Amino acid sequence: MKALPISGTSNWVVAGAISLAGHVAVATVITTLDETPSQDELPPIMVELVVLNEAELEPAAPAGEPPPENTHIPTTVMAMTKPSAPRVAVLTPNELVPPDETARRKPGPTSTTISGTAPLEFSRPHAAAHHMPEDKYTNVSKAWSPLAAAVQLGSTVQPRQKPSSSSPFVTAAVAPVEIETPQQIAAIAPPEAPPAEPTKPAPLVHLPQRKPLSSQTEHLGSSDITESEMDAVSTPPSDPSDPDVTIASAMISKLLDPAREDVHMATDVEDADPPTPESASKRLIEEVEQAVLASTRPVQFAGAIQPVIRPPGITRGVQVVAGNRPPKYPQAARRYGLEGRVLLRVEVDSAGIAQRVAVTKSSDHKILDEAARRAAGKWQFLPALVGGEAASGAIDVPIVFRLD
Amino acid sequence: MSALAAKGVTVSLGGREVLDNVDFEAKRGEVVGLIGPNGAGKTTLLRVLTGLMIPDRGAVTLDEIELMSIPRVSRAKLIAYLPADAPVYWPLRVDRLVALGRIPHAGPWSGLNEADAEMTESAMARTDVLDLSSRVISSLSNGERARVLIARALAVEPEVLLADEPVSSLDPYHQLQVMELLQDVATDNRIVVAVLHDLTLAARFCDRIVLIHDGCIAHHGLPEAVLTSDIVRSVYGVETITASTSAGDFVVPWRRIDSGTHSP
Repeated sequence: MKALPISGTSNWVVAGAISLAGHVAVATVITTLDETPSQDELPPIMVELVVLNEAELEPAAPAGEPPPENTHIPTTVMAMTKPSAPRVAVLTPNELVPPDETARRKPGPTSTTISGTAPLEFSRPHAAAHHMPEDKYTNVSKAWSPLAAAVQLGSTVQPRQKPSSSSPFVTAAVAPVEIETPQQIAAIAPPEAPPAEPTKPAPLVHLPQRKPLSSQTEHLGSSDITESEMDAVSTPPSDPSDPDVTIASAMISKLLDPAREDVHMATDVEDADPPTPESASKRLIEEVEQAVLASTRPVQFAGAIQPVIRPPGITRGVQVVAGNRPPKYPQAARRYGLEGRVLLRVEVDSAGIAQRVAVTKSSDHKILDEAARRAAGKWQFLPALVGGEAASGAIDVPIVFRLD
Repeated sequence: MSALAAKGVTVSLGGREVLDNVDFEAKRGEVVGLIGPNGAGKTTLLRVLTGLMIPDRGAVTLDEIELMSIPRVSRAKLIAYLPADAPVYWPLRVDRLVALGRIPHAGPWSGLNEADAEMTESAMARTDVLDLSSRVISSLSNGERARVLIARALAVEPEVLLADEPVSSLDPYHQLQVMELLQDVATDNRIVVAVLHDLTLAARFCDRIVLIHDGCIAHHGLPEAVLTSDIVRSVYGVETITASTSAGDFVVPWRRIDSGTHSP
């Protein structure tokens, strides 16, 4: 990496961002130069200063080694990579120049910025120190996905020694679904799911069915997928038995760069319309939807309302009725600045009445837990339907108390 | 319902149990006098009530909310602690020092606004230190300095005011002024807990008295129930002269029991 001059004619713009999530602290310094570089040797345009805790500074495990057992990034959060609005932005310096110039560039400093619904930035100092491969998809995912998970989730997720191709896109999009009123709760409650088939449980996330699911997976395994995406598909995810996550991840990779023409998802081969960035994005969105649908197990929102009891033959889970009164923010909690997120499990009878409300995850403030529990106990619900008949069921309701 | 409560608080310092399973409560609108001999654990209890000291056992709640679960910023706004003989390390001007009490109310990147300035001035007026505003704190007498620090605590506009010996260095005039001030703060639906050694001031200005002895609550209740000759003798080891007048009760320590000397 070329040393950057600190003085002279260069005009420096320095932006610093410090993000604290859990026990990870990251500082990023972005420096841009106004001098015109030569084509052969573009000056590095981003300089990163990384402050990590000791866990993240551990060297990466050699390729091919399976991820450590204590590394678990839940694959269920896959559904949070909502196809209609990808909230993940993964940028590298390579992406800041046209693709044809990328090939001519020497390996420069790499930077990864992941932004979800919560602000998140992190960077890494130099690719060589971590043997970061050139490919802009694989390098990001292999080297930094566990850190991305740890930063985003604010958790104690240990950095994954063995890189995974799927997690950066997945985990970066994980953001708690914040709900402050029952109306909002009802709005994001999963809509009626299609009837379940005996061999294929209905996913909890309703997405339009467009194609036979089996053909989707076959297409994605075809030779139309580039090497990087094949790598993404072939690299074992956190759950090696779950091919859907890697498939969807490959497609999300493509989704992030619709203009990349050397990647073809090859699902709408009959489409006669000339490819445009908009149509490509739309098609990729559909691809992601299909991949989620292709899952052979229920896909769950992380943090969203979800029916939790689904007996065989169920045609609808428990749902919250719109118009329920939101929990009151306790006056003492407001005065004392208490905030938090309560996760309730509401058991609902066949008449849609809450029979039992349990706090499954406390906000750490009893006063908020009780306020949420009291409110949910008075709510009206749509009971679960099993074979067309109302049945008892349960639903998880997260309630976030947040002061402005 | 108690607004400020400590339950089963136990604190050990230097291998000695300073507080032993102490239960304490204070309601809004009352001045609670915390009295007891030196080393009884009064200051330790006060520090536990502020959240500055984590007890080995037990917990403190404010309106039934665990004190330590309240965010620090909120706690800084809610509770003002006036230590005994609080040191001031910087030669600050008096008005700037009092304005420090408004810091918890200022935003992270904003300075103090006009309302903060008004509150600062009001606090200085209540403690009679407006004429000292341009003086440097290190140039003041002990009594003047004590009043400035009380002004800083009042500038916080706290829900709970915890004062450790607030009048010990004041002249009689300002002792009465500060005690009236504490009463005034409490009547605004706030909680005031003051460590006092002047039993007459405690009897006159406190709504309740909590007497700590050897790390335990020895007695608590109304002043006339706690400040009896027998209790004072057994806890403090002094004989007292007590009297009830139409203006109020007074308790004057008169002689030590083991001194062997006699009063006239």
